[in-house]
Amino acid sequence: MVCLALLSSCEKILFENDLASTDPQVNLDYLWHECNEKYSYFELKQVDWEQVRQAHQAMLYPEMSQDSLFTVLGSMHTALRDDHANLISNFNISFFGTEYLGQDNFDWRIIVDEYIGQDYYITGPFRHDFLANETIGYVRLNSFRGEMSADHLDFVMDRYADTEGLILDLRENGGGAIANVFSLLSRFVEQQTLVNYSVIKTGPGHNDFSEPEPVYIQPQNGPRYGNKVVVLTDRGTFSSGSLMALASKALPQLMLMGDTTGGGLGMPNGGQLPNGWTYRFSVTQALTLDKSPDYENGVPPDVLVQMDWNNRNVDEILDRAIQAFN
Amino acid sequence: MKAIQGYLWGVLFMMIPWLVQAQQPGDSINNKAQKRPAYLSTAAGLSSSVFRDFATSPLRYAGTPVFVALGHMDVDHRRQSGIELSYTFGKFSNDFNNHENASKVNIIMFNYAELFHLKSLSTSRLNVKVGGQWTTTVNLRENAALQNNSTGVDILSTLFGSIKGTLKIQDRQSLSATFNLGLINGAYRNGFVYVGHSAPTNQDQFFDQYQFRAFTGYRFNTQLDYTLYFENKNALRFGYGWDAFTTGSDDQFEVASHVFTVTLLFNLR
Repeated sequence: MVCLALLSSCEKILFENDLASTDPQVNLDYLWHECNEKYSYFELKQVDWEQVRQAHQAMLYPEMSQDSLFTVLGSMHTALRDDHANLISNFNISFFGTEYLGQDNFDWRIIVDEYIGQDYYITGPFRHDFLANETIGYVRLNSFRGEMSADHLDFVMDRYADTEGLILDLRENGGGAIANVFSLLSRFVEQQTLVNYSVIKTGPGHNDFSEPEPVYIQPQNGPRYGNKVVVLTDRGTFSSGSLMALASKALPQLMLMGDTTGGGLGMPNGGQLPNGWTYRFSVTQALTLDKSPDYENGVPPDVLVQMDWNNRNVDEILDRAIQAFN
Repeated sequence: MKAIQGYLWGVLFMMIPWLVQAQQPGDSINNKAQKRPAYLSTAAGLSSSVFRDFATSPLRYAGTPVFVALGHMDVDHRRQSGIELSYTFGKFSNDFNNHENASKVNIIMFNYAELFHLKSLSTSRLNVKVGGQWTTTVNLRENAALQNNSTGVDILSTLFGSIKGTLKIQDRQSLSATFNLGLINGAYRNGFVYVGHSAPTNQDQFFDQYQFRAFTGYRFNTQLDYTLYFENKNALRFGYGWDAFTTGSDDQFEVASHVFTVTLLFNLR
């Protein structure tokens, strides 16, 4: 028992003090400091992080409730204007809401009622069927989360192999596993293809990044699609969905149609505050082929089309995509 | 290339105890014809441990993981050589401010020790040995709440200076105490943002951002053992070990463990 007590005392001497704290200032300082050193888009988003700190520090007071503190810290985090910047507690999650930067441009019910009917196929994460007298394949992917297996992709590519074109609908696709993006892209290339570059934070300065790493797609050893593909996007196309849009710019057979994406091209990290809340924010940048980070603010479509909600029987974006094959 | 080099460093670090053991001088180095008693040891126990990884969280995670180990030891009053492979596994958690988060931890540790009799401090009942020990620890943690930082793999390797005193209590009972002081500490850890760059670059290199730091942080451990020898030369050992280390630097990883073990020692000659 004496040894236990003695050695436990040694631990107290050797290690840093316990930093667990619900103090508002302690938690603001910690979150601000972590972001200051590791967030990857200060310059592009022109965020004066010191000014943000001062503005939010002024809102703190010692007796504030957890809910009030969350409002302040969440607001500070949201000042990054990045839906990969989230503060997570057991009662709330902060978010920026890039999807609300543009109008709503998608309603699945219109697709089902007016275009593909209710007997569409569900293959893994894909919902799909033929359009336009089976000359066009329509493939809806609402998320890159979950499993997207080679079998799923084989079936979809095979089913529409003889069509004149494919419509890949990524509207309101909030992202998911990056690996699934590369799996899907591998079905649209015939040789190793450079699609973008990526950098990662390597130091505490706002511009401390690694050298740009090239990102290549290898063709999949399985059914691939060689005809024209129209990729539909909107402001709800975010994270991996946005990365798919960015990479599409490098593939001549793919065309982007709809609205600008919501961005979210940086890969987020994960961490914890002294009060137990968790957070995440972007720590990498995805760059275009000319090594620009600008598409973090949204990947622009090649053809801009918006929905007209005065007529709820028509999906103008889908109609425009179908016309692209005529 | 950098990632491959990093990976090889990590593998080499893990293999050092085995490589040294493989190159250990053979029986010809022993002065006497008679070989040292040799034991195969199997141990099991429970640990009370705390860790904190500043790369991802300022909070301490505590748990009582299970400890198992397999070892081989040659020992007599002049010299002790031993090698041990241990595995510790369990759940660590922190529930500060009513936010419970858990980390599944798996730890693999290699130990290789060589100790030599120190006559000047020894008596007829007290045997003191000094020497060194090399320990390599692979620490794997999974905490889903940390999202893309949910997986932490840290490889630490330490060369210790060691001193061990064994007190003969009665005919077949002994008490021993070992103190190890880390002399050279090395850590192989993920880079500045503690997340790899392989996912967004469509590569399969888990260690691509890993960095090796030498002469960083510190490590101490102690071991207290009570050993009961049987007539058939096998033995039963009850032990308590304490191990504490930090990797140093701003994002340091610190661990303290109290391990209580029961070990069966099977005499091999």
